[in-house]
Amino acid sequence: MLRMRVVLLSVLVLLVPALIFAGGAREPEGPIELRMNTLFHGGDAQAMQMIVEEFNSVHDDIQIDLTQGSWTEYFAQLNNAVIAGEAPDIGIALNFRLHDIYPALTPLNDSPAGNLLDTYGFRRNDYVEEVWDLATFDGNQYAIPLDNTMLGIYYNKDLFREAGLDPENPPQTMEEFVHAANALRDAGYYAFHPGAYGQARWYRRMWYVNLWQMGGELLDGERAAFDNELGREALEALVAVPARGWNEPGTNGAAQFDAGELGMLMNGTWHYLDMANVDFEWGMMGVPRWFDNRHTWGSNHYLVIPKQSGSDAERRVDAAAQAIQWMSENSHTWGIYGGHVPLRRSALENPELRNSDTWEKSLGMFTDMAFSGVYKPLPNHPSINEINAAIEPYIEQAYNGTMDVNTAISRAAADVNAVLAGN
Amino acid sequence: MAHILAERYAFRCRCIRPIFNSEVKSDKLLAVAVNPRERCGHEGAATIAPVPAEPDAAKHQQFAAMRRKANAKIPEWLLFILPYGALWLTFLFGPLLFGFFISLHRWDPLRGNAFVGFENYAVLFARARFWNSFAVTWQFVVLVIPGVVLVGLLAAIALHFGRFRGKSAFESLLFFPYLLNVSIISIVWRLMHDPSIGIIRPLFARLGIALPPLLNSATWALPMVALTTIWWLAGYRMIIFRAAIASIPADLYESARLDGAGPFRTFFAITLPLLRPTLLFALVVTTVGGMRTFGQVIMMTAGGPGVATEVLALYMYRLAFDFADFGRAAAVGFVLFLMIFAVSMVLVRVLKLKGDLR
Repeated sequence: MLRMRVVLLSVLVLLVPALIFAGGAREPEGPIELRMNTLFHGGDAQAMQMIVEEFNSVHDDIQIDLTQGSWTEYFAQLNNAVIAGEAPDIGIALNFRLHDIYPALTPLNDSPAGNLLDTYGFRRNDYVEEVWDLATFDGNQYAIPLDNTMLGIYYNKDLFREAGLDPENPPQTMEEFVHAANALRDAGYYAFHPGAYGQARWYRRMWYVNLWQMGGELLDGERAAFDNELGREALEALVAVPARGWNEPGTNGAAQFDAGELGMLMNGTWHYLDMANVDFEWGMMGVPRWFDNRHTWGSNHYLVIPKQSGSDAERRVDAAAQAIQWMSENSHTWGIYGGHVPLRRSALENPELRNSDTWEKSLGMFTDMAFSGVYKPLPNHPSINEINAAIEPYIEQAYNGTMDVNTAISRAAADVNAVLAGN
Repeated sequence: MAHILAERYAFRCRCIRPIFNSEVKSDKLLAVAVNPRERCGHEGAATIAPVPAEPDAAKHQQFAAMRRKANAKIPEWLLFILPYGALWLTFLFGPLLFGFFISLHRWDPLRGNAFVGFENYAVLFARARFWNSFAVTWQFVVLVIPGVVLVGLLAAIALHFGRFRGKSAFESLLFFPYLLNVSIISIVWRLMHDPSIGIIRPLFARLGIALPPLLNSATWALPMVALTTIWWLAGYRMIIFRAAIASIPADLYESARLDGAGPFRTFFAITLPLLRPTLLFALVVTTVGGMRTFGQVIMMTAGGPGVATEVLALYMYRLAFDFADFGRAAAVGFVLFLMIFAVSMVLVRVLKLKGDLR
């Protein structure tokens, strides 16, 4: 009897896992789970989270598992994940990283699941064509444009009033700007922060804005084009910010602004989301015409499908394209939640977007800037990322007052020329 | 006089060590492990704890001979290092060779790798930014080593010889930072330095000293990262030094006192010479650790302002993960390895550490 029980029990013990695994093997009929990995953090990440949650709630057959947060290592990680055959199904690319990253992406017109552009109706003229074309390499399309981000000046209307300025007429010229900043400083506040969160890259971008407004350029073919009077004057204008007592080096402008201690902050479209939680009245003035031409720095995000391996690549790539199509068609929500200018024309015309609070507060102005030539794209050079990185330590040191402007510009130019020469 | 005693005792202790050993507390056992001079290789040890006679000695010898014959082909030392050796080959030496291999290529698996010989090294050696990182790494090491070793040593001495209240609180406070992860200590110190919300500037302002934002100063940023590192690591060195000091037998001090030696003479004639191996070991370990520093720097200053705190490990990381330039990053890594290897060898040979570690 006992022996019988032992045998029965053993059979049962062996059978249960077998049944479970057999059940598991039949599973693929359920929803496909896609992994989406982005470089968004802060407000952007919240906005993308909302969009993905919305996607998941209206789809039964596809579910997206979202991971976000790392900005600096994002592209190297994406690259390595593709090499290791572990790439996420959906990713994000930036215009100035496309040259580095496109070999790791699925060509959308020639994917394991066929021509996805045809299948899901992605057409070049549905988007801003120049931005679409930046993602075209050797006739293949590697990415779908999502947005245009830009830098503009957010200002604290309460502090404007306190400094005796008219909050409804923010400065438009250099003269008005200097007047406003001096008034804010004299009222006892930080007047202006040119560098968003205070990392070197933000000062470098502000210097680009000055350079472009003065009519200067970053590159002339394969040479640095800023080792001249324009480059130096553009940097002098940036260094004037701490020199005039408008702010001090080493500070985080976004934190100062959100705490109500800063009058004017140069920051991107995404700062709209921070503004939901502040207890003062604010506005966004775009960028003043500081010099000859009104220009600002910005970038583009794209939706991409990293290269997939494995037996179910066809199915996953197809599902990823379906998800990207939905996100692109609904990218007005990315505008409403995230504050960025969507680049799909239908989304840009969406009445929900046009009537949103975001549009009224900041996005309307940014959209004007995007389509009136104020937004100036970075040079479309294969080494643009390394060029940026070569410049920024010198700009930061000049801003900190630890290197003089002439030395900073000539060293930055020498380093850029070394990058361009392949060294 | 006292140091002669110390020498004599060191010799004598070999014979009594088995007895001594059974009496020490666990923290002293650690000291025995750290302090190799105490290790007893004396054959006579067996006479203190005699091995019971083998009942069948002839059979035993026969077995031993058989085993020797069977093992003749595999040297014994190889068997002993095999467990660690396998891990070392897989996770340390293998990757090192592979890193060197990568450093000889333009490494881009998706577009195809290309062998370029030593071009990556040549390009790096021509870059000012590489030499900046090289110099910053050395400056950091020079700032950190004396700090960590001195603070650790002085605290250990104060705790061992000093008579004051709150000893264990002091010890815990000093050791506590070592329990924290590098990211936590970096974030805490960065926040303390923050120009808007940090505590350091208002504190000094109250004392009438107007500080610049130290982490944004090309002069002060690296010393501040070094200070954080000293705060982080000195407590651990203190524990090691304390254990080593505690393992110095008390009767040595007693004899010294009887001979009329004052506290300074005692320290330089007894404590310091017997601490020598531990001190040198701490020196090597701190130097190697200092050269590999990465976490504190990337989280406190990200190499800035400018490139004032960009150590080699951070420059390597930038090349690899910002620019996907894995070939040159591997070249920086190999240079860093050679540097650490050379310095370790020099310290071991020049300071005669090898003899002390035997």
